[in-house]
This record gives sequence, structure tokens and C-alpha cells, in this order.
Amino acid sequence: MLQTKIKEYREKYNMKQNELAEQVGVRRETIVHLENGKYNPSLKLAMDIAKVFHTTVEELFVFSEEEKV
Amino acid sequence: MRKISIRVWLAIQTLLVAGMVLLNWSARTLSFLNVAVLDVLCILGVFFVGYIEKKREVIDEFSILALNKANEVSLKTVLIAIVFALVYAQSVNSKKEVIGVILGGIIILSFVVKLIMFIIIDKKGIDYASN
Repeated sequence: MLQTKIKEYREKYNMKQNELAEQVGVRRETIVHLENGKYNPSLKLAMDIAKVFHTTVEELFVFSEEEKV
Repeated sequence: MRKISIRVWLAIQTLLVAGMVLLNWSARTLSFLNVAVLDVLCILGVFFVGYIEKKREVIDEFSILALNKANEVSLKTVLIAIVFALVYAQSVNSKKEVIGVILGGIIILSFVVKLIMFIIIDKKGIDYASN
């Protein structure tokens, strides 16, 4: 499953979910599902989010082999 | 100005369709509702949907997936409902009017199912819908 550090980075940058959503051109609900690991983003969205936080996609998203329970 | 959410947009569509079908049914009993009035109301409805679409929030990649899934479920429901309606119409040998009412109901049902499915997927995530 895909684990993200979006929430950590968001808190680090003192950014709200809707602010991040607005910057990358998606809805707030999409950011919520991304943070909860309930949605796998497209490469473009992943890169857009990484760009907002001045980091890389690999740093922001971690793919783990274990199945979600 | 605050944007209209996709849920509200779908709810407005559902209400408009339901309103149009109900108006069509009641056109038989209400004298002021003739074909011309119904046509004008339909055109106004289309313009209203267009206006709402301009005020609606962006449809992103997650929304597209959710809408596709909702459409898929809605289509399956409609197909099942049509089969049941055909079997009913064949067995009871019902009138044309009754079949028309049933088909109108199926149109409303498809929009209601789409709205409910979208709300569920939007709340619980796309994984919930796939399981």
C-alpha cells in the first residue's frame, strides 16, 4: 500500500488541506483520501504535491508491500 | 464566492430530472401545462445546469474515478430495473401509460443511485467501492 508523508509536510509548512488542494488543483477530499492512504495519486499529482513541499516524490510517498488489513 | 460542490451539483441534477419527470406526469391533469410550457421548462433547466457548472468546484482525478464508479453502479441498476419492468409489463399486460410511468421512475432512480454512490465513494474512498 501507498503511505504518504503529506500530513507531516503540511504541518511543517503550516498549511491547511484546502490550501494544498487549491495549490495543486484538486478538491480537499482528494487530499484527505491521499493522507489516509485511500487513494493512489497519478504521477502528475504526486509531482505537483512534491513541488509544493520542495521535496521529491520518493520522499513524500513510500510504497510498502504489506497488504492493507 | 464559494464554489458549488460536486455533491450539490449532482443533487441539483437529480432534483431537476425528478421535477421534469413529475411535471410530465402531471401535464395530463394540469391544464396550464401543455407541451410548449414543458419545452420551455426543459430549456430553462438545461441553461440552469450550464450556469451551475460554471460555479461548480473543479472535477479532479479522484472525482473522475468516483463519478465513473457511480455511473457504473447506476447503469447496472438501470439495466436490472428495466429487465424487471419488462417482465412486469409482459406478465401484467399493462397499459402504455403504466410502462411510461415505470420508465420515468427508472430515470429518476438512475440519478438517485448515482448521487448516493458518489456521496459514499467521496466519503469512504475509492477502495471502499472496489471491495
